[in-house]
Amino acid sequence: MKLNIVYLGLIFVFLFGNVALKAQEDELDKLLDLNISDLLNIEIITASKTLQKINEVPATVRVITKEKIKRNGYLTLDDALSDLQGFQFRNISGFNSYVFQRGIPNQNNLTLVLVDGVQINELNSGGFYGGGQYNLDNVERIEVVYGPASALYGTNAISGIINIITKSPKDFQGLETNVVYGTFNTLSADASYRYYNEDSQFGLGVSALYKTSEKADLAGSEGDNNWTDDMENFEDDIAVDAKLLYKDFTLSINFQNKQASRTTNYKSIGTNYLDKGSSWNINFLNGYLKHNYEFTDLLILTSQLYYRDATVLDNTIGYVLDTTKVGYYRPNNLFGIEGILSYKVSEIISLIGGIVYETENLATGFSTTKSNSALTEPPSPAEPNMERNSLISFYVQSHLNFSNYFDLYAGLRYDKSSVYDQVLTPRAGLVFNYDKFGAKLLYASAFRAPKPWDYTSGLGNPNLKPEKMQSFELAVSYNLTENSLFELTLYKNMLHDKLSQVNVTNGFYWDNKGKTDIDGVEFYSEYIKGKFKLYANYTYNYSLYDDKTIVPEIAKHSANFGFSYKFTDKISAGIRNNYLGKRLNNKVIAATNDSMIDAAFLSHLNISYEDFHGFNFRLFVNNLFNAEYYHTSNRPPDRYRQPQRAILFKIEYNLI
Amino acid sequence: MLKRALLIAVILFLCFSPRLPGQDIGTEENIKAVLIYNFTKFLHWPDDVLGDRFKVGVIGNHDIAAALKVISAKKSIKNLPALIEETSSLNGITKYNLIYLSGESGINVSSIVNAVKDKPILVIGDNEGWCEKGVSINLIKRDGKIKFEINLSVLKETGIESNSRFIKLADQLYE
Repeated sequence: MKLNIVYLGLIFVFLFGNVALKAQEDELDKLLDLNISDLLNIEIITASKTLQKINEVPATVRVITKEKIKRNGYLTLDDALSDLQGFQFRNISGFNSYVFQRGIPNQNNLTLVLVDGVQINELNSGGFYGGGQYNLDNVERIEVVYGPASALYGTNAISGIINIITKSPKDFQGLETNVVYGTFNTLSADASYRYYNEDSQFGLGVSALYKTSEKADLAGSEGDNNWTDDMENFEDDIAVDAKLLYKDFTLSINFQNKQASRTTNYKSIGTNYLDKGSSWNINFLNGYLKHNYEFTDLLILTSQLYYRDATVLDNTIGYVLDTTKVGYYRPNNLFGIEGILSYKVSEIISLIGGIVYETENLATGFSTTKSNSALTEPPSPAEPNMERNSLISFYVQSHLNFSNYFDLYAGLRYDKSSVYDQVLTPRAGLVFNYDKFGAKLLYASAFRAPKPWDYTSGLGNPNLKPEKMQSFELAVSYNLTENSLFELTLYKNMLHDKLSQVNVTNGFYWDNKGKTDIDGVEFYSEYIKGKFKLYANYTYNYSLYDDKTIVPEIAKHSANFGFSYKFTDKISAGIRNNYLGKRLNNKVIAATNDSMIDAAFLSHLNISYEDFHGFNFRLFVNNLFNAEYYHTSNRPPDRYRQPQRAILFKIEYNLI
Repeated sequence: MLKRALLIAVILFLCFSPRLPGQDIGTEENIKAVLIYNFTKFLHWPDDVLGDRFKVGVIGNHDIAAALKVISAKKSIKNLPALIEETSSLNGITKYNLIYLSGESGINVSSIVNAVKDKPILVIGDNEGWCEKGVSINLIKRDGKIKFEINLSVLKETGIESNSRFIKLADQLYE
């Protein structure tokens, strides 16, 4: 079986020897034959480079640009996703927050988060961490891909992919500094320095962030009386990024440390949990060495070595009871190597093929210790039992541009794991672009492999197998003018062998249990007229289990819209609005005697004054009308109160 | 599983059909790059400022720099081999004969304009309103096509000479 797949990939890559001129050179040759008058009358392919690329790829994609990040004052990854279609959240305002993409509640393990193309989902659970540990001022753009993508990325790419592209030393040379201060004792400061020398082709970028915030007022009645008036709830984040370029080599290191209260994980009022003294302390260290080798303009080999470490440090205090503090420790690391061959066989055919080998060393569970009282620190836990797993994967994706209007994509990935055996994931897509009209018809499959966290959580279940998704999608887009875009997407996702939490009298365990069907509609539009920009999107999600019961935590209706206006070269302002419809909670909420979470409408204001002697000043008012709203819960608190109005002030200074 | 793999392979092979004739369109970056190259044919730099290479600095748009590099491999500019560099720093910016500043760069246009003021350096921008801010030539999208504007007074201050045929092609002129 494995050999068949390998041969198939090799045949794809090497069968077609028809080498043609590079497409760009062909086009430039034609353009160079024209005079200026002719050039001024040529229609450009699309209104913007980004939209052009989005139109061509076999998936629905949105891009959050660095300008949007700055203008909207996003502080966390969840903030940055909150204005996009297809996202809902369970923010527990604590050590993590959860992002549901396209209608499936989960532990952040159905969406794959990448930094510069390298996965950073936590190794033991397979789930990424939401929150503030991402240095968004050092981000060039965030690419959000909707729909299954395991055919290229393997496990966890079920609902989509979030690829965070950090700034390159080539992008902006000099010193960049940013400071944010505001409500809930929020303070964020970051600095970046980038240097690039064209002659020596050497570049270096270093960026560092420190952020602290209490995020919301959850004390006493403000927090639904889950916690006392003296509760402690903090999050401190540190991030350090370094990127070194030399000729065709890139060396990148991305370090994140998140230290946050675990208070909101439990209720303290009416229980023996205390709401002070816990501290979830997790490190993420991701590094890669990448090399691009161009055999010819048409045949490029990208090779990369990568190392990932996601460790819950041994000074973590998972929770505090009135009699004890409980220490946690869970180390995990992974080493991988990947080769990606990109081959433009002819003007019609392009192929990408890759081989991946990974070996991971994972804790089979948490190692824990307890202290003798709530006031003393527990001893450091010993190293837990570790397991070593390996994975080998092959993938190939072909792109057939068989007319000026049609692009056909087909891809296949084969994964062979020492844990979950073998999985084959195909995908196919037909993309049509004519003038201002575009359409995509897509089929994709994906899987999520169970991780140690799934096997051992609660009572444990060693017999888990991967959960799998099949997805069909139709997306149509229309550029009414060069500065306006309308896009409508219909999708049907079917999740099989779903990993569900099974509650029994003496605890819980995970099991492959049942199916979830999700029918969805997404609408997106943007319009730019001079200094005025407008966007609006709407999502309809109808998520059902196989027994036809409604999937909790998912609202049927959600929408976002906003606009911005540039009053002068220096002064601009904008308003963003988020609407999340009512949704079913996992349990009845004692405060309301109802199991529904009410709909919420939020508005956020931003005002910028730029270029005052090199300084930019920005004011953000989040939750402008101080709406009281809640998120769902799958933990002891019945529901989670969300942040009240927050006022943040940001100063940026760039020295080039 | 093998059947599925073969099915995908069959789909791929079935789709090998000849390319249909298409429209005469080009990517925005390629059109801009060729326009920039063509502009240099109509402009004359003072004799003493051009060295052994015609130096072009591109700020904030890798694709245009890449297209210009392809062009420079085939064509000379002002009878000189062209050197195309991407830069994002003000340091050393005055070594260029032509600077392309992209609106995507995030760099304040005034800082570039002031750094090259009264020097024989042609600054070409691509953002609405930049001609009024002091770039010599501004490329803009109108009705799905690339048009250009000229700031005649700024161009005159650079000492770079143009001709009337070129000026007539501009969509808008600023004094």
